[in-house]
Amino acid sequence: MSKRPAYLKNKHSSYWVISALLAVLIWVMFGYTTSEIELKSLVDNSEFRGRTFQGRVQEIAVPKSKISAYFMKEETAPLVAVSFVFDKSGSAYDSEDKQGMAVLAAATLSQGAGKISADRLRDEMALKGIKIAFEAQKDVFSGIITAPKQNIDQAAEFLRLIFAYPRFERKYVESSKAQMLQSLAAEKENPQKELWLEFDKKIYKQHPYGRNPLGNANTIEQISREDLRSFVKERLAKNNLYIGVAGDLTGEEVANVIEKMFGVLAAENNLLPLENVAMDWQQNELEIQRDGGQNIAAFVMPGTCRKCDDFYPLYMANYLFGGAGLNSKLNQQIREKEGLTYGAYSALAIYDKVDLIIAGFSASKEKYAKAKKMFAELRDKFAKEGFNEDDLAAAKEYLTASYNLRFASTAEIAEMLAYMQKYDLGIDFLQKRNEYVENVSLQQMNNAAEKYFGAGLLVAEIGIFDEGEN
Amino acid sequence: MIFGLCLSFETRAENFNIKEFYLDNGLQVVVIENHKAPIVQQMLFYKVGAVDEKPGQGGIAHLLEHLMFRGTAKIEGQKFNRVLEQNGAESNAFTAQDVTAYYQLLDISRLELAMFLEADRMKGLDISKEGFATERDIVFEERKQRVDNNPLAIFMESARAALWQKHPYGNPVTGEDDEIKNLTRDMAVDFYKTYYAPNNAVLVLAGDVDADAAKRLAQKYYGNIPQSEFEATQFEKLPEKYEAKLTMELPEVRVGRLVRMYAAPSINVEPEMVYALDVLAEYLAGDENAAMYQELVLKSKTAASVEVSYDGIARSYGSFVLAVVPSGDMKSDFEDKIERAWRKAISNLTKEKIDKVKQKMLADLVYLQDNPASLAQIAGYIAASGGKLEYLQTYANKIASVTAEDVRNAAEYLQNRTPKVTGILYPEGEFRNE
Repeated sequence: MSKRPAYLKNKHSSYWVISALLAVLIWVMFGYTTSEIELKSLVDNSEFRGRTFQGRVQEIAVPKSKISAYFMKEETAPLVAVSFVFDKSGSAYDSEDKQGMAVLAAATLSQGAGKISADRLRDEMALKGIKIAFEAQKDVFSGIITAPKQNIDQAAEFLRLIFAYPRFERKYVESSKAQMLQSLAAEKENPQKELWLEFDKKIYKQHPYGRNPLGNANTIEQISREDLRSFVKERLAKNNLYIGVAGDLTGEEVANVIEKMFGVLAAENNLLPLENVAMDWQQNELEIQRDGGQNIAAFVMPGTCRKCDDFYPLYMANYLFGGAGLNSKLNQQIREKEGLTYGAYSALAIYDKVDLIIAGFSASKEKYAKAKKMFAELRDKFAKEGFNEDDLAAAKEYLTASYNLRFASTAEIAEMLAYMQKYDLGIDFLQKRNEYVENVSLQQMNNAAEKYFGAGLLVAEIGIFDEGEN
Repeated sequence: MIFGLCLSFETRAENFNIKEFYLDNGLQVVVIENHKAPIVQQMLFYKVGAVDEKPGQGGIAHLLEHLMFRGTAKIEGQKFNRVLEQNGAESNAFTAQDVTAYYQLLDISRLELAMFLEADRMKGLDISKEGFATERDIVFEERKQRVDNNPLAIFMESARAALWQKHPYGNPVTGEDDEIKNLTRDMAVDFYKTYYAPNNAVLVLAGDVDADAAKRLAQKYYGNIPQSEFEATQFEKLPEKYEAKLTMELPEVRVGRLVRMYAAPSINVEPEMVYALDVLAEYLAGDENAAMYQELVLKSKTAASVEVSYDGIARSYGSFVLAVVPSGDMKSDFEDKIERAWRKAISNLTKEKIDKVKQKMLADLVYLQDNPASLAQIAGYIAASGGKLEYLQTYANKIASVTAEDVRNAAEYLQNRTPKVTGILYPEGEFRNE
């Protein structure tokens, strides 16, 4: 059943003999503990060395319908996944009086299609192993449909009906609205969530990015089923659509599937464009009083865009600073050395209308001030002094060695293919990606650290704070 | 641990491509071949968890899991993390009531490195005094973050304590605040020496590796580790039936919840009933067409959501949990309505409805052939809980043979012949106002 792909052919080399001898020598010289070189020899001498993922990305186009997709043939599981991303159609594009529309549409879009009731559609899909999920983010409205290979045509027909004749059955629209209202209330139970929602409001001010994607009780109430049907017609169009397909199909089959799924969509999305966010880096700290087990901090710094020249330098600087899990500079100091927190983090937040770095941690009240001070010191240190060659090498090693992990699931591959198009990374991105990483110099990485860690910083915190302590 | 095994009739268990063997020192090895990409997930399950802790030492299993990343005689300090990170691994661990598991998802060329490192820390752990103190602070912060910052977690912990009484499933995996503060390095060393051994572990290798290579490498890296002798934890048998009620009002709660938990059968307690319970959970609330969902969310609009989950992969009892969020405020007849919806669902249960539920579950199983990490986790959990892998191999057929009568009997068993707790959580200020 399982097919063994070409990369399984082992590449043996005589190199391992020399490495093994060297490892023994090192052992004798340095005795008890295991050296980096010995550990490295376990990789260099591995019988599995040199297997590389051979997946090839093809572009499949259906010119008459102006639809195209990136496709990777994947034969090891009898599954197909189709990921679709509609640009400029997420919750930030909801009108002021109908906030929550994109989220509600995601929850209800598959509730019936054409002559098929919601309940029957759900049964028929489940009986055939077809899964469909929609999601609204700030910028995009996206979805993924997965099916066993033999049922992909049926899946395509269901998705076609959903796009062409969505039913948005009243009872499900009502139950989804009730769930959104409960979610709005439940968000306030979670201090981390409350902190970021309030922080977004403050950072983005009047920009739609500052709104809660769920909307509020008034705006949710305002959304009609007619509005939801308009949502599909107006926002989900061919000119803002990116499609990724992974699975055991031929190119021709992919063309048929995407034509059937997306051919019914309108030609153009006619939404008003969104303004860029104008960041104000001079704002005061936001402090929310709330008694909980810990105080929580959130930070925002400027970032860079996905296609900008300094994307990889900053990506790697952030990886080292707060992206590398327990090995990040933040966690090494604040968690591993001092035991002040269960975890600190930082991440690039790349949106269409603003690029940021976000960061944060939580800590007991008595440890919080010290952890916060350390965060500030570390940020300052890496902005001013930068990283060293060892750091750079470590980042490169991780990013290249973890490369193959992205191919673990069919759905994840399809999604990656869709986003490669959204960010305009090129069809050969997977071949080039490790080169992009390898080509970053220490100077470039430290320039990025200086430019972005050393510029603006916005701070928000929630918890119990003594007067004057912060 | 969520075992919502769901697949397609035509999927046969052999498609999972699972093999197992034992090393002479007792290490059980499970190999799941999946050649999608040149990657592999190594998981090492120890058959030890919070249930094996001595009284007053709550949290020691979890703290030890953290300490396992703090150095051995050969790999000093935090080199373990650093080396795996530089080799591109996603590496982590978790502690549960029944098991403790360590795992790395990595490029296949790094498998031997990961096996070397994992085998090394099975016996070579070297816990420094400073490392111990810092890590105890970290797990204390972890408990604060997971539980104290989250009223729902406090509620669930209380409900579990009410259900399990003296059975160790009632103790939180993290330990209580005071317990964590009193844990010592000696306790950790003792726990480690007793339970961390090949004859108390299951190694799972899932991904681009075949059984022959797995056997060779398992022998090479784990084959010489000595066994340990220890007394297996005996679980208290719960009384056949009791019912606990818990009503809580907590600060910061904005949405009411009702949770009902049953001490249910498992692969080790009344094992023949687990399949019917899997089907029952799906029938009641598996999707929006399910019986209780339709009744409570769509017809009576009593609830915003209804979830039912059943976990029968456990060393002792399984757990069957019903969780309902009211639509709007929590009304005084909320529990009655849920009780009635359950009874109605069971009395309306027919062969046709159960057949449809089963077919949906079977149609979903094909997805287990996708990401090797999913099946690795499930297979490892089964083996480490004392189950046989035959469970997976025969799962589709067992589900297919569940009858409507079996499902009805399983529901009756839960209602009348098992301990249960019903917990109701009120938003701040709303309980007193009743």
